[in-house]
Formats: sequence, C-alpha cells, structure tokens
Amino acid sequence: MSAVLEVQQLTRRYGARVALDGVSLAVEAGEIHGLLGPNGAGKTTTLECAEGLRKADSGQVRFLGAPVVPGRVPARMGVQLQSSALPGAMTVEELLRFVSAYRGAPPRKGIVERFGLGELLGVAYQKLSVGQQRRLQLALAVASQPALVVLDEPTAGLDVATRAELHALMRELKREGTAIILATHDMAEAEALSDRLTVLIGGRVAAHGTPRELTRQGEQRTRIAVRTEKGTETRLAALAAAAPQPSADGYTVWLSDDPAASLRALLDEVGRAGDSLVDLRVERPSLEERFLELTRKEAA
Amino acid sequence: MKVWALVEHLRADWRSALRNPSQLMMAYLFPLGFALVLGGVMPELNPPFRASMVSAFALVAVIAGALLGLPGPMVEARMTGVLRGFRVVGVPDAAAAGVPGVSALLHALVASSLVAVATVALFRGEAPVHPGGFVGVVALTAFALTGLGTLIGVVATSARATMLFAQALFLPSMMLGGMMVPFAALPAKVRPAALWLPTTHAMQLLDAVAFGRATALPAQVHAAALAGTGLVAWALALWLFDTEPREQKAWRGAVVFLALAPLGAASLAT
Repeated sequence: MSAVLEVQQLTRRYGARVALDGVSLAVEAGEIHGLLGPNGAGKTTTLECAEGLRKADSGQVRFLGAPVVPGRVPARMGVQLQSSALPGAMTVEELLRFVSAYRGAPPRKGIVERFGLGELLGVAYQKLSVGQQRRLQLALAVASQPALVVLDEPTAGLDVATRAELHALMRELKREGTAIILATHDMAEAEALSDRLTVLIGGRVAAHGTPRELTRQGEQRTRIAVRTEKGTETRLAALAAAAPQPSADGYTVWLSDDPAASLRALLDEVGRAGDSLVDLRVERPSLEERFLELTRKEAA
Repeated sequence: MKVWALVEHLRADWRSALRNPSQLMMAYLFPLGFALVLGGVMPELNPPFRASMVSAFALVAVIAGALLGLPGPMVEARMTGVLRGFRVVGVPDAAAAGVPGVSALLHALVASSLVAVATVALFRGEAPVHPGGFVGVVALTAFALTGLGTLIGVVATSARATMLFAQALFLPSMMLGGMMVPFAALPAKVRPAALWLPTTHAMQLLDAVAFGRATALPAQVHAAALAGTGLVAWALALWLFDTEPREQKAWRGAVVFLALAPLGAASLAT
C-alpha cells in the first residue's frame, strides 16, 4: 500500500508552549487512521498542518507525494472540521452546487441519496439538525471523490442512530479505497473503525499501531471469567500464564498474559474432570484502558 | 479562479442576503421606509429639498446596505467558522472576502433604483436629467461604500467593533454628507470635514453628472475621490482578509480611516 498522507517530524510552537514535537504518521490508501489524544495533545494542530490550514515550524507534510502548501487545502483532500460551519442561510442544494463549482467537478453521482439529503435540498443549513449538518459536511467533504478525508470529531454530540449512520458511511468510503484520518475522543469508535491508530500525548506520538497491537503493548491483561457445571475451575490451583483474581458474581476469574495458552489449559482441565462449561467470558484489555494507562504514564 | 464558481457563489450569497432579516432590513426595508416617511415630510418643511431628494434617498439605500448591512454578517462568518469552512471546501480567500461586497453592491443598485423611482412617483422628487449618469454615479458610490463595508467586515473582530466602525462613517455621512443638508448650505468651517465623507462627493457628483448642476469642485475630483477610496478600501480588505478570529488591534481599526485618504486629499485640494 502507498501512503496517501505522510507527516514527518512536525513541530509547532504557540509562544512558549510546544504543541507538536516531532510528530510523524502515515495514512495508507483505503485505511481508516485513528488519531487519539487528550485535549491539547496536538490532534487538531496535526490535522491543520496536514490540511495546509496551519504552517508547521519544521517538518514535512506530503499528500499524494507532493508537499502540502500552507494556506491551500489540496484539491483531492476532503475536510470536515468540528470548528467550521457553513453559511446558515444557504440551502443544501446551493451549498452542493457552490462547493462543487469551486472544486471544478460536479458532485459525485448519487451523493444526495447516499447521504440522505434528498428531502433536505431546499432546506437552509441553519435549519438542519446537528446530525443532518454533519451528514452534509461529510457529503461536501467527499463530493469530489477525494483520496483522503480528514474528519475531526465527526460524531461528537450525535445520537446513537446518527453516529451509526456516519460510521456506516465511513466504512463505505474505506471500501471504495478512500483513506480517512479520524480524530476522535470516542475510544469505542476508534477501536471499531480504525485500521491503525496514532496516540498523541503532549504533542508527541505516545503509541502507534493497530488497535490490537496497542492493547497488547499495555500492562493490562486479558480477563478470563468462567463457570462450570461441577465447579472444576474453583479447584484449580494454577492456570498457565494466568494469575487468579477474586471471584465475582459466581465466576472464577484470572488475568492472563497469554489467553490462548490459559484457555487451552482451562479447557483441558474441565474436559479431564468430565465437567462442562456454563459460561466463559474472555475480555481483552480495551483501548480505553490502554489510553488511560498511556496518559497516566505521561502525567507521571 | 473559476468564473463559474464565482457566479454560483455570488448567486447563493445574493439569495442568502435576502433571507437574512438584518441584511434585508438594512438593504431594502430601512431605505424604503426612510424614503416613504421623509419623502412625505421633508418637501413640506423644506421645499428646495425636492431637488435633491432622489439623490439623497438613493444614497441612503447604498450607505445603509454597504455600511450597516454588509460588515456584520462577514464578522459573524469569521467568528462562527464559516470562513474557515469556506477555506476547507476550496473557496479562495479573495472570493470569500469579495463576494459579499459584490452582492451588497448589486443589492444597493436595486434598492437605490427602487427608492429613486418611488421618490419620483410618490413625492414628485426631481428626476435626474441624465438617468444613465445617475446610475453610473450610484454604482461608483456603491463601489466605494461596499469597499469600506468589506474593510470593516475584515478588520472588526466583534459585533460591537463592527457597529462602532460602521456608525463612525454612517452618522456623520447622514448629518454632514450632503444628503439632508446640501454641501453649499453647510457652514464654511464644516465643509472641509464634510469632504472626508464619501456621500458628500457622491451628492456633488450626482448634481454634476445626473442633474447638470454646478458643484463645489470639478466633477473629476469628486469621481477620483470616490474611485480612489473604493480602490484603497477594496485593496486593503483583500490584503488583510483572514479566515480566523483574532484580537482587536487599534491599528486594524485605524486602517478603515486610511481608506478615506483619497477623500481627504480632495478636502486638502480645496
């Protein structure tokens, strides 16, 4: 896969405060790249430098192999910012026409239907619900078939149904080969949608990898909770690669460093005892737990 | 810059202004109401006013739309992230800065024409001898005033600052700018100050070009003062335009008055 967006060693200061300190990341074609970080971590500054809305003090941003010129958003980059709006009195149809005219291409076929804007064409932007406004902003960002879509907290403040709609749209875009960079505070969203994640803390890249890799790298371990017919698990003195924990709700609990080995050993013991499982729960450490661990380390 | 995109932008902005209650009020309802009320009263109190009321009411339409209607929405657009939104969807800064002013200029031409026709038809205001010259001078005045309005929209950082800058030009123009009291009737000491106001030059130029009357200065001086102010104001507005909100700095406010330098030059020439 080729990198659609390459950010290399980006630094940016606001007075004495260092907002970005050598941030590097790459977004591949057809991937959703999650950008996580607490408030003030440098997510928005990174995105703004990548879009050409802000000039970095040093470092390089390349989009489709060409340097991004500060002050000009590349034509094949679709952007939806949380901090931007559209003229309230313009209708959905006027906005689609007007933006397409500046982009120099008619809106991609079926965009109105796909984003559920058909019945809203004559409605002024200010009269749309927040969810409809976000849908329209996303539609405008992808209307001219961009190679990369930059989304800054696109689902913040939306209800569950609208959020699910937008997630489905993002997955569709990814299937079509569009790269997406998604800045979000929603860990579940990041874990469910992202192929790879970059965690920024204090203007630096604190972690990078797939959601699975990130959670594996942490100190948190996989929680195995089990109940059997005859209670064999309660009599186990030890379990491979796992440490026993206090029982909870009638379950015997272990924390495992190697869940595959622990589960194999557990199932062997249960089988040997002629027992059978009533319930088995395996919970990997969540991205949220890993994120909190990273922020705690940074604070320490 | 894509011409078709500009046309689409202008069309959308034109319609938006008609849907925006405050812009509609300043561009159309206020000048029409002003003409309807004063058109019935002023000629009774001061019969010679009938000779200048078409020009005066038409210029009220231009100045209200350009200074009171135009800058506010521009400042609001910057503060609410609309200008930033424009930049991310590929609208060039020059278009984001200039289209509202061009749209306001076109609205000013329509509103001033409606007011002029209504003033002649309803109150027997003296009609221009050269209607083409009348439209030309109103257009030149609208160019200068929408330049100033756009510049205010660019340099003001809050609704309060916008109102202060706009009123600093609007109120003196209404009182001393030749619309309510003819330039020739002003005290001699006040006249140089009145020449710092765009409407003074506009009224004088309308007298010369549209009505064939004698004026204080040669018509070319009035035309050059208006054109110069328009050019300086538009150039400064396009140069200083920014999509991001920023703190109010005194020098940015002073820039508005820098654009009046061509008018001041005319004042000094007298």
